[in-house]
Amino acid sequence: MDSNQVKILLEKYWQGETSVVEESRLKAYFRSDDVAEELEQYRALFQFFDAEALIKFHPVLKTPTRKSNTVRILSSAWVRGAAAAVILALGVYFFMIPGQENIDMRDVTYIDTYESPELAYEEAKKALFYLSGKMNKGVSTAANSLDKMKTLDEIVNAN
Amino acid sequence: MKTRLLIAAVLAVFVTTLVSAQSNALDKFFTSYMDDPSFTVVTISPKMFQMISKLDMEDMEPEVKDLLNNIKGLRILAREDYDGRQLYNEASSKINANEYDELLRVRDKDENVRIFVKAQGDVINELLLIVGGASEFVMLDLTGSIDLKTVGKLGGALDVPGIKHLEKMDEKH
Amino acid sequence: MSLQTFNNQVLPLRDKLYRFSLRIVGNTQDAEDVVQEVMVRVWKKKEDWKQWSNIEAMCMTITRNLSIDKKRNKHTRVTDMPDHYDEPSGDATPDEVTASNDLMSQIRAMMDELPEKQRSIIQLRDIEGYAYKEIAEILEIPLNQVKINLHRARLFLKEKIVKAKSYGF
Repeated sequence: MDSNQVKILLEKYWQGETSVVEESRLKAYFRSDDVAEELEQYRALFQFFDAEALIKFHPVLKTPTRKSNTVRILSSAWVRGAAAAVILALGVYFFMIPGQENIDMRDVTYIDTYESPELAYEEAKKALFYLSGKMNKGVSTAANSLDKMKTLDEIVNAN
Repeated sequence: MKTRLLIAAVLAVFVTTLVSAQSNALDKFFTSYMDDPSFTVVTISPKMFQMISKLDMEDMEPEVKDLLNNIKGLRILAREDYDGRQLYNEASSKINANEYDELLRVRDKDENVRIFVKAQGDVINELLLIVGGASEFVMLDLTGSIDLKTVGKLGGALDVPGIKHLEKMDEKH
Repeated sequence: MSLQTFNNQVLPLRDKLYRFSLRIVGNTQDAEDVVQEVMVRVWKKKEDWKQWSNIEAMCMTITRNLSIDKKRNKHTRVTDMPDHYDEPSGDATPDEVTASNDLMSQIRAMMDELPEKQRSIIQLRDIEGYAYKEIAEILEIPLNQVKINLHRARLFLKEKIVKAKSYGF
C-alpha cells in the first residue's frame, strides 16, 4: 500500500468510518518496515493495539502478603531462617528417633504460610483452580495436536 | 536477639543441608528457593488441612471441600515477572522418572506445563505441577489422594474472589 | 451439556474479558477478580443462556459493568495495593524494552485520559476488532453513539500524538 492510500485510509480512520478490513490493512502497514516518515508518529498507536491484543489472562498465585499478617511478620529472611531452623531441627529430631524412619521428609518443608484455616482454605482452593486450568489447557492442546501422550481423559477414565 | 537469630539462621543452613542430603532432589530444589524473598512460597501442612476439613464457612463449594478433605499437604513455589523457563528446566530435571508418571505436558509459545503424578494402583497420592513461562514460574505440589476428575471439572476459571461478591452482585443486577 | 457450552463458549473468552476489564479498572489484580466474577456469574445463570442471543456480548457487558463498579468502589476505599499492580502486564521481556516502549506507555497514558465509554470503544474496536453492531450491543447504546464516540476518541488520540511529537518526544 503506498503512503497516499494510507493517508486516505487514516483520514477515514480518524473519522470513525473505516471497516474492520481497512483497519487491519492499516495495522499491517504500520507493522511493516517502510512507513512514510510523516506517518511514523502514528506507528506507536497501531503497535500499541497489536501489543494490547496479546495480553493474556493468567492469574498467578499472588503473594499472600495482602491477605496474611503471618507472612509479613515472617518477611525477613532472618526470621524465616530461624523458623525454618526450628522446624527443620524438629524434623531431624523426629527423623532420628528409631522406629519413625518412614516419616515423610517433606513434612520438614511444611512451615505453614497461614495461621488461619480460612485463609489456607482460600489459597488451597485457588491452587486447585489454577491446577484445573492447566489440566484443561493440556487437554485442549492434546486434542489440537493429536498428542500421543496420555491425555487427561484417558487417565481419568482409567481410574 | 539478633545473635540468636543469626545462630538460628546458621543452624538453618546447616540443618537444611543435612536434611536435603537425605530427602529427594525435588525437596532440595524447593528448600533451596524457599528462603529467597523474590519467590512466593505457600505451604499448607497436613495439620492445617485437618483444620480446613473442620471449617464450615457459608460459601464453600462442596466439590472443593471434598477435594481438600483428601489432600494432606500443599506447597507452592512461584515467581512472577521473571523468565521461568530455566527454573522450569531445572525443576523438570529433578524429577525421578521411576517415582513419578507424567500425566501431561503442554508446550506452547507462552509457557511450558508439566504435570506429574505419583500413583499407587489407581490412587493418585501426589501431584506435581510445573509451569515455566516467559514471565512466571510456578511449582505446585499436592500430596494426599487427589481426585483428578473433580479437579479437571473445576474448569480453572471459577476462582475464589468471585464467590464472595456474588450475593452483592445478584442484588445489584 | 451446560458445562460443555461453558467450556467451549465462555472460558475461551477470558483473555478478551480480562483485557476489557484491565482497560477499565487499570490494574491486573482487579481485572483478574472481575474475570473470575464474570465467570461465576455467567455459570450461575446457565439456565438463562438459551435466552441470550449472544453469549459473548453478554459476557462483555457483564465484564464492563463489574469493572465500572470495581473502579467506583476503589475510589471510596483505601487501598494497600503495591504500585506495580497498577501496570498492565504486557509480556514484554527486557530485550524488547526499547524506545518504542516509551511511546507505547505514552499511548497507554493517553488512553487512560479518555472517558470510560470512549476508552471501551477503542478497546473493543481497535484492539478486539468487534463490529460496530456488536459494540453497540455490548455497551447497550445505539449504533450512532458508537460511531460518534469512536470518532471522538480517535481524534483525541490523534491530537495527543501530534502534540506529543511537536513537543519533541
